[in-house]
Amino acid sequence: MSESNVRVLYVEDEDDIRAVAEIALDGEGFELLPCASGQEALEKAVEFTPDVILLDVMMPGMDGPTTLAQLRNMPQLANIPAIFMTAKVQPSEVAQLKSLGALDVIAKPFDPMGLADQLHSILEAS
Amino acid sequence: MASTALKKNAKLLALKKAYMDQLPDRLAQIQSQWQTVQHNPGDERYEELYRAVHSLAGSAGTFGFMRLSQLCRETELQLKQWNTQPQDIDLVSRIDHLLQQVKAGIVEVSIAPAEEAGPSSDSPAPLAIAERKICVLEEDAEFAEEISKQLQHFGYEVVVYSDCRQATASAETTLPAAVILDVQYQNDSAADAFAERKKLLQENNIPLVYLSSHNDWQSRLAAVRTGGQAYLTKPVDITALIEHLDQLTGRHQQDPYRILIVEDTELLAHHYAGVLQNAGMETCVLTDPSKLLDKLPEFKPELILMDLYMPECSGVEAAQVIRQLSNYDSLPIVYLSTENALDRQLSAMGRGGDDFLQKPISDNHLLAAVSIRAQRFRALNSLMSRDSLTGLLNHINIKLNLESEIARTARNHRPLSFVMLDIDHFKSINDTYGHPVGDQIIKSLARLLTDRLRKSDVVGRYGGEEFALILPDTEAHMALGVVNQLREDFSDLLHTHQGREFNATFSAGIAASPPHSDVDTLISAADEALYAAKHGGRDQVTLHQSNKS
Repeated sequence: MSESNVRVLYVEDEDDIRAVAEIALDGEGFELLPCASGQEALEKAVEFTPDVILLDVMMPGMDGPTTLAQLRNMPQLANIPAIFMTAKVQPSEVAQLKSLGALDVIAKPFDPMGLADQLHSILEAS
Repeated sequence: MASTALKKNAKLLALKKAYMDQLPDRLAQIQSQWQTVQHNPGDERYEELYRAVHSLAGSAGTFGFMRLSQLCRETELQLKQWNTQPQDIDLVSRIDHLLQQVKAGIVEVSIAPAEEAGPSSDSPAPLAIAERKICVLEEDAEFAEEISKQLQHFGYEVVVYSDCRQATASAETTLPAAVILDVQYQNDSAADAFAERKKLLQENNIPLVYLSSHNDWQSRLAAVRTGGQAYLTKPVDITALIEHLDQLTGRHQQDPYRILIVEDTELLAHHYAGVLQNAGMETCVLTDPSKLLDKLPEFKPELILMDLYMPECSGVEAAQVIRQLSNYDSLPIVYLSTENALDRQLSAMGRGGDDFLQKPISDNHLLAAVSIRAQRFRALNSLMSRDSLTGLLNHINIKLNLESEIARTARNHRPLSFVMLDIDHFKSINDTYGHPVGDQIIKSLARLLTDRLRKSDVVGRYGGEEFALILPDTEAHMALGVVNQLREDFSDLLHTHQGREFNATFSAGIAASPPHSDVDTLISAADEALYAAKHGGRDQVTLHQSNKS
């Protein structure tokens, strides 16, 4: 089972939400590397070799889209799929985020008990 | 798999609990930041404040505190705007107000019981309820026969049990929609055996109607204590019994209670509206109290939920304006506010209000307070506004109804027809057959009209033998067709008195809006048309000349 775990680089500045997501994805076929900021993600990403990058859009300092752009500058991460999480789910904003190369956008607040399934189905659809 | 979900749920609950514990501190910090920042526009600490509010909005939502999250989200938006216009006093007070509500929201969250983790326990599948089945427990066979015959006329299936053993032993696969129980029955030697059965009924909320020959306090109280929802004394008035059954079995679907919410904070207003709607009520939100005069006749609320503090005028002032209108004398007005000083609450109630609910209020509390008052209002209103013989709207309320229906249809650019209807030669019917027969004929016409017209039509008893019909969305010539059919059917009804059979007829006049756009001219036009019908020889329907084309 552990070999097939999906490796998720997870960037979220909010401690509470990060803790909820960790519990939500625990034991559901994911290996999570939680990062509290874009900066932290940049430092740890290459070594972690993620299968997917999950990022909050609005973060202080470096926001989600900027973080993704910087990650994409690293050759090892240039083609890793990314998923944004945001409370702003207007169709225009979703379209804009997708145009930045995101696979999909997960609406916040997310349902903790359904997050794992949601991630799996996005990844399967891709 | 299920156990991992359980463990996960438990962990999430623990996290939620920890989160709730630190909410007051987080808010205190936000408030102190806001105090600093609002006096120092451009201060870099604004960013911190904004972040704190934003993060609270996000995390509250993640933990399922949607309303708190929405309040924070709203605060976040206002803050953003304030940052560009720090001189705007309104914005400052708006943010203050919102933070107050966030505080209230946090208190609310902390007193709401946390949901239990884990799946609900399995309960056996409930017995199905047969919607039209009525169970009658009556020893007097003749009386039971009579009741069941009458009930069948009204479309009920009746099962009669003449003793407890029979009732207890019967292996029914469905539950009845209601049980009629003669009090005498309880004294049966096998009453204990019936207790079990009764428990089953109560567990399934099957209404119990008592019949009794006693009309004293003790007997009535005993009925209440043993779960009786209605108590009828013998000789039983069958009409009353049917009405109780129709109501208790939900056959006469009650209209939802109409609740008007006057609250300037749209977000909160819609939260309350959502809670009430989920309980099946109809709501209307008004953020501007100055629109009340238009809204009242249109929406016809059965209760007003009024915010106490609003920018343009206070809730107490708005309530006093409503009380100036005699039509809304008895309409319950319930204040909703964070005001917790008892003397101020009482003073607000002294001026136009009926009750005071303190924010934050749990959804259940709000629901109970609103539905109980709306229910009482509807019951009292029906006593005051309906004619006791026919149950139809009385004179004054036909006019009130007509006023609001004209306004509503005009706004939707729809026609409305108004019909005045009068039983022909009614005085001579009374003189020939006696008043009880006259009453019987009035009742039969009332029944015919209500059974045959649409639910949206209004039927009223205008006076003596005179009726009025309000037919919204109906052109005059369509109304003419409908009323003519009613006229023919009514004249076919055979009335009997001491072996003599006879028929009665009515005449009617119709006028429509447009062209008549106010109550008085519409009524007098219909009256003129009725007069013409009478003069034309009776037993006919006439359109007012303004509606002939």
